[in-house]
Amino acid sequence: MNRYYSSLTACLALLVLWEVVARSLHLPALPPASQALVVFFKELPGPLGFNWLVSTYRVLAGMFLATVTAVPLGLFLGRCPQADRLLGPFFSLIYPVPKIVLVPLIMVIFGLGDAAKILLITLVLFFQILLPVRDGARHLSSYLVDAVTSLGVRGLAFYRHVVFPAVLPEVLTGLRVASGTAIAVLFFAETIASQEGLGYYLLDAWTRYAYPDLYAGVLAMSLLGFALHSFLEWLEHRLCHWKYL
Amino acid sequence: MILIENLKVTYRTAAGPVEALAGVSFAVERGESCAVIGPSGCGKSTLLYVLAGLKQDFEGKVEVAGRTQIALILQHFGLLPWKNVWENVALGLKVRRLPPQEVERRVSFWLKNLGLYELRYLYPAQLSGGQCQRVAIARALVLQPDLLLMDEPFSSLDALTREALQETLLEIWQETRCTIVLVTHSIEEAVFLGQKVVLLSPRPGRVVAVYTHPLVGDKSWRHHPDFHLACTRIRQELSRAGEAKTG
Ligand SMILES: Nc1ncnc2c1ncn2[C@@H]1O[C@H](COP(=O)(O)OP(=O)(O)OP(=O)(O)O)[C@@H](O)[C@H]1O
Ligand SMILES: [Mg+2]
Repeated sequence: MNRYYSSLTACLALLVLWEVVARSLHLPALPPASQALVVFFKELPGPLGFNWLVSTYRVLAGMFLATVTAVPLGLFLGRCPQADRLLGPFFSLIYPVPKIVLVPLIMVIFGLGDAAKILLITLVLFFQILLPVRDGARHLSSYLVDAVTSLGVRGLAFYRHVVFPAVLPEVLTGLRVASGTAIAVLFFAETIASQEGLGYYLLDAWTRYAYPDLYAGVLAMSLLGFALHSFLEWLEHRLCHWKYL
Repeated sequence: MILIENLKVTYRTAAGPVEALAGVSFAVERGESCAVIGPSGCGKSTLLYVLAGLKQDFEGKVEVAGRTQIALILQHFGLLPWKNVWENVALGLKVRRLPPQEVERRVSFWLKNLGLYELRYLYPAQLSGGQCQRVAIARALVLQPDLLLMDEPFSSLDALTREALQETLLEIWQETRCTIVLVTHSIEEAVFLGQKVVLLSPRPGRVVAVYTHPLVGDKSWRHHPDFHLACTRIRQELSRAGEAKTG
């Protein structure tokens, strides 16, 4: 509980600082926090809320797709050295490539709609999950494996009761750490020939010199990132409470 | 129950082959308790792995009487850190798809029997070494094994806990009439628990001697004059085997 209060205090302090700085500088490009907040709440039922939902949907869909593809593949590669020897080099090669350079390519192939953006987020997150899951599954302690094997735990039950719970913290940490990058990449993609999403909303406000709108958009974007991060952290504590005993 | 003839196990490593067992032969009767003792690295764990079916590339003959329910308790307990005591103990039954009432019945029976029932919602990280050991024992016993294989099960415990658990094990053995093969490097433990004690030489392991102790099962056996005699005999034989190797 204490942590929530301190986050809240930090948030309020930032807003106050912003308000003070803005009121003393009188720059059109830096409207006071209060003004941005008013626009934020006024626009929430309108375009801002709509575009916010669109971006949230894209991020969540990308996360979902990345998780359901990378986790099984990572578990399999981790427990099957032959397959890993075959496929591992490809993944190690693609992993460090910044996925943002693929934006034009993906848009050419998948168009300007949801599909391309979701795919992009999936790509960013996929590797962040795949490699830790694979390594976690590979380095499962051998005496744990022997102990449960001798209990008769084999096949799918072995993955369900042993390998999956062992790598779950890695999955959630990977998702959490990568969620920032995912949102940044999404923002970039949404500013290119897009009609929807927070990126579009921000770009639109910018070209109209509607600075309070711009800041309302920034607020929405930050909240999205913060909410995702907090949600994943909560989920990790919830699902992996044995780690925090 | 168990017949081992000329069992040889060689590990292939990057540095060349490591011969762990070099022709081990002995037998264990149904319902008998057998302790295997020998210096560190002589292949005791390897022997249990072969008996448990976890290691299958070996030479020689190993027969375990048909349709036997085997349970293995490893040197490091091997409890799943993400499952609490109850879930750890129930796991083996769950994957066998036993009806939930039966799982419930057996798990709570053994947890109560081993004094773990109050701890059933705790996780392994919250337990002491002795408690972890009892969970590992409970996890094996809910399977109602007729063959219980144990690898230095009490080695990480203090003397009192250790003796208490040895006595618990004796009670369980007498109640369930299961066959026990117990690996240990404690001479007293081997003599207290082993109706038959198999003494292995330093690596590569061979059987140096087999002793029988008919009084095993009686709790006062620990204080019997013959007990100390038996211990001394094994101690001498062990150090002689060690010297023969080095000298
Ligand atoms: N997986 C392995 N690969 C290669 N060598 C191994 C392997 N496991 C065991 N060995 C070797 O085989 C020999 C016997 O090992 P084992 O674990 O059976 O000994 P142990 O009698 O149980 O020893 P301890 O009393 O220390 O537990 C040792 O010399 C060890 O180095
Ligand atoms: Mg050993």
